[in-house]
Amino acid sequence: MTKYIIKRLLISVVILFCVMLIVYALMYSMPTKFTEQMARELSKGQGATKNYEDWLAQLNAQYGMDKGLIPGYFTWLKSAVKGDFGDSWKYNMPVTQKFHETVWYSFALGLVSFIFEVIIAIPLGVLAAKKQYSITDYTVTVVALVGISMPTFFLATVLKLVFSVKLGWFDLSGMISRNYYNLSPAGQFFDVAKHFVLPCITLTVISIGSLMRYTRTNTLEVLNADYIRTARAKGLPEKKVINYHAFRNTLVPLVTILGGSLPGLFSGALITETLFAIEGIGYADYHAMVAGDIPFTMFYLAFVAILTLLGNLIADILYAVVDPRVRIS
Amino acid sequence: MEKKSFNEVLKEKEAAEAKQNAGANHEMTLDDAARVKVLSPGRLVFKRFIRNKLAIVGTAILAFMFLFAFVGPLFYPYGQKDVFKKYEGLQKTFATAQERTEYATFTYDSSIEIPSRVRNSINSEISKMEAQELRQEVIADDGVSYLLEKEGDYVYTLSTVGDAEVYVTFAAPAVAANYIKSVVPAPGVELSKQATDAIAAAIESGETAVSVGDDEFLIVSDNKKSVVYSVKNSNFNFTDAAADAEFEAAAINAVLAEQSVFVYNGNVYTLSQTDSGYSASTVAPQDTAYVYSLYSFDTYDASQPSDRFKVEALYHAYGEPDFTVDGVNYTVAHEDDQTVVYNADNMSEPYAMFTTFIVRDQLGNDSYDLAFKTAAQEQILAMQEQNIKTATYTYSLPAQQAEVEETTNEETGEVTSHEVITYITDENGNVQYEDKTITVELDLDQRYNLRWEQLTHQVDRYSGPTSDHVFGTDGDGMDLLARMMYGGRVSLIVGFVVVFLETILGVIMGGIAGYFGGWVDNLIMRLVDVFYCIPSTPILIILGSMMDKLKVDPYVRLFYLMAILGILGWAGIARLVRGQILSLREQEFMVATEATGVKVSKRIFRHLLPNVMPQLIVNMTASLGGVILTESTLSFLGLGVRHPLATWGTMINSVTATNEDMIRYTYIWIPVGLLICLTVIAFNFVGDGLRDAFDPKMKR
Repeated sequence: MTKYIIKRLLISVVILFCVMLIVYALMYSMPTKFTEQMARELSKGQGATKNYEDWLAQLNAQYGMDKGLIPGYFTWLKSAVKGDFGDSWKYNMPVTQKFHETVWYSFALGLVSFIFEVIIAIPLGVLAAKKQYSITDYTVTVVALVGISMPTFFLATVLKLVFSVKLGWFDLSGMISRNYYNLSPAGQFFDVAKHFVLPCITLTVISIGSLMRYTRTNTLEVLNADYIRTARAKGLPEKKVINYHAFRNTLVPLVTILGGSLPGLFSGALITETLFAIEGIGYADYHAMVAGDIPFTMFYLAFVAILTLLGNLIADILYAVVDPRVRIS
Repeated sequence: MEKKSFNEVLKEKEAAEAKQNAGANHEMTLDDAARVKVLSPGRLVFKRFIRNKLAIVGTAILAFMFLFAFVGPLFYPYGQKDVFKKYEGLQKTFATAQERTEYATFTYDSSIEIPSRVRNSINSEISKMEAQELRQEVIADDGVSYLLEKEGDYVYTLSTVGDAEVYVTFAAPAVAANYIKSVVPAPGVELSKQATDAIAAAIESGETAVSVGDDEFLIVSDNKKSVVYSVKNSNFNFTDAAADAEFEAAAINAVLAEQSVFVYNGNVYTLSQTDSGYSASTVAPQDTAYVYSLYSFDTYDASQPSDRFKVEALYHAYGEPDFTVDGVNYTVAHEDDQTVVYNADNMSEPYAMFTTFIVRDQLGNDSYDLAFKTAAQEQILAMQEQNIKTATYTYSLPAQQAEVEETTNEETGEVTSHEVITYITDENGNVQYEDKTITVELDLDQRYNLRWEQLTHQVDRYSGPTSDHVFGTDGDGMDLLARMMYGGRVSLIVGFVVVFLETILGVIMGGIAGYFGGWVDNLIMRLVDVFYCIPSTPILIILGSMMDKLKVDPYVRLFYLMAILGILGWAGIARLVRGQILSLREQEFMVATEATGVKVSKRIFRHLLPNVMPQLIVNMTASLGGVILTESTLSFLGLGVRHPLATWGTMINSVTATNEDMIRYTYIWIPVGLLICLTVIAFNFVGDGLRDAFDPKMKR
């Protein structure tokens, strides 16, 4: 087991190296570089002592952009391994500081929607499988498919129209109300929580479908198994068959997939956060990317890649841990 | 032996049995093979598929979408880039009126060259002359002098300087006394006590001139001493007019200040030294090159006066009143409060009127008739008197209507109709007038803007649903239904191309990895891991903003987008294909192909791949929906397919950028969003149905 994990981790490092190289190459070849823009501003500013070319050369040297693609990548890699991701160009602060400021909003958003997703999707999936080909089954399937098929931006806009404009329950976007600073600490907490409601609904509706279908498929598989027939033949009540024998076995693949998606809670919801102006990591990254902010984007993409690899690893390990029939080699 | 498929064999058997049983009352036994109806695998899948209601719904929606997107535009009259216009009464500034304050230049004689430096300074020279009430001004440039002369109110001429006529000669001013702390008379000059005191008092109080009795003294001082000159002793000899003490003082002042030109009573005199003293000459214009004036002309018949007419009329405004332009004789007459130019042969009909009050249309052209201008001027004068900035008045203007005009193409005989704005006329062809309310408003540039409502031809932006445009038009005046159709086309094409691209890549890579195994498998699978791990949304956003900055053409951009989506998406399919092939490779029929010595390529393409097809088809259908979602999300973020190409994502984006738009234009973005949802749902329904149909294990 330990050997397997070490092997997987080593492979992950190689994969990460390649992924980040691709990402760095993309960022490096952005046509309008951030440094050019900055040099232009600095050379035009009041009392500018240097012209555009001088500023550009200085900034490029400062940000390691003068070294060419591969040496530049290794420079980045060297400091990144040490935990130094540099200063964000757009936010004018250390990348890690911006990360700390934003990631917890994303995590809160992700966690709440994840909990709702699990609470809603798993029972409905089991229910649909139990009553296969019934009205309930069709309804659940249709709801799941509609959820999967809904474009995030459309759902978010519809929610805004209905709940913010027509009903006036929530603000259209942003994280805090206008009178936020006059509120008591508890009031401030509930104010932010209120602004998280619509993004949470969006994320839950979008992600609920796949988990629901996954649960349904797996439950169906379990219900077709011989031991369920045996349990029924023994004369056990249907309730016990489903809740005791079937559901426990359904949990095996579910735990795997849910465990695997845990790291993803930190990665932020890029589009939802941008649409609702929730200042999470996805929102910060969207604006950094559009502005060509290499340090922040590189950090975020490395972060997301690590989370993905970690998710896969956790899923594989959990699979072996939960299901004793699986032997890892 | 002839090769036959299993199906064909079965069909032959059925046909033979039917022949055998024809006519005979065949008794069917319980174990008769004919009782079992055998369907081909394809038909089995089809049968299972059509039993699934959701799949049928999905298929129906998809069929509709394909018709809508690919056949619809063929029958729909409008294209995706047609901009529609409409006729609407629009309150707009159609005229501006203002009192002219800048002198306009009229060229009288273009053969005379005057440096542009001189010409450019005219407006400031004129304002100087007006402030000092001068009649003449000499402007020197590079040693050459030019004369700017005021002809009368608001009319100036710029000419070359002609021959001087000597007006007065006089001796050099004689020194009468010096003053250093006290007045010391010059040798040979006697000053009375009264004169000495007066001069001393004047010098001490800093005056420059003092008159005692009939004599006048001029005082020129520097720090230490003052010199007193006597005007009387200068012996002025005027050519005609009587001596004028003030003129004399001005002339002597000019001599003492060593000026060559001086001004007296608005006129300019040049000063030159002669043997016996000085002479002052009047300045006369020689050839007039330019006329400057605040006046413009309003003609009574609303015609445009020629430039020659304008300059001649101005030139003759204050002199000889008759002039001829283009063979027509005109005469200028000054009437009560205005100056009018008459046609000299027909004195009863005035031709044009001098005015400093100009009314122009929005393009700066003089296209309004005199009555309109007079009415506007009256109104504005009244406003100025009452000092108000906004007022309205009623004036009758030609009535308008939008008319459908049909034009026939002479070559093809095709009749096209379009709307034009015409003026309403009665049966005799006379233009009908209707009263319109004109609003006059003073703007910050001290101009009076005249606004009224006119039918105008303008882009039909954001028209709600109408009979012409079932879903209305968007912010560029383009028909929404047409754009929905073309947008659907882009979405479906992008979906299919991307899915085929990633499937081809995935099958090749997965097939190679699965079939050959070993280090090839290892390498490809690591590559798959890398692509699996790349965060695709951020990458797409980075690439999108990259293409934004490179200003890639919308069509080229579409191809790039498809290629990028394909390259980012093949990893999943490669993994699926590899897994399938790994398990299939070990099965008996593959061992059999190996044993019978079937070629490798045939083994892969005849025996392995067809067995992967079901999974591939299911996967492709399901991922079609995903690709369409990705494409529309990117377009929504403004990073995918760009304007003017229509896509569903951009259509939504264009009206939800601000919250006000989002609230106002729900009739645009909701139908488009529903189209996206419906298409993706349909693909998912069909994919789901296919999965169930191909894989009957899930049935209970």
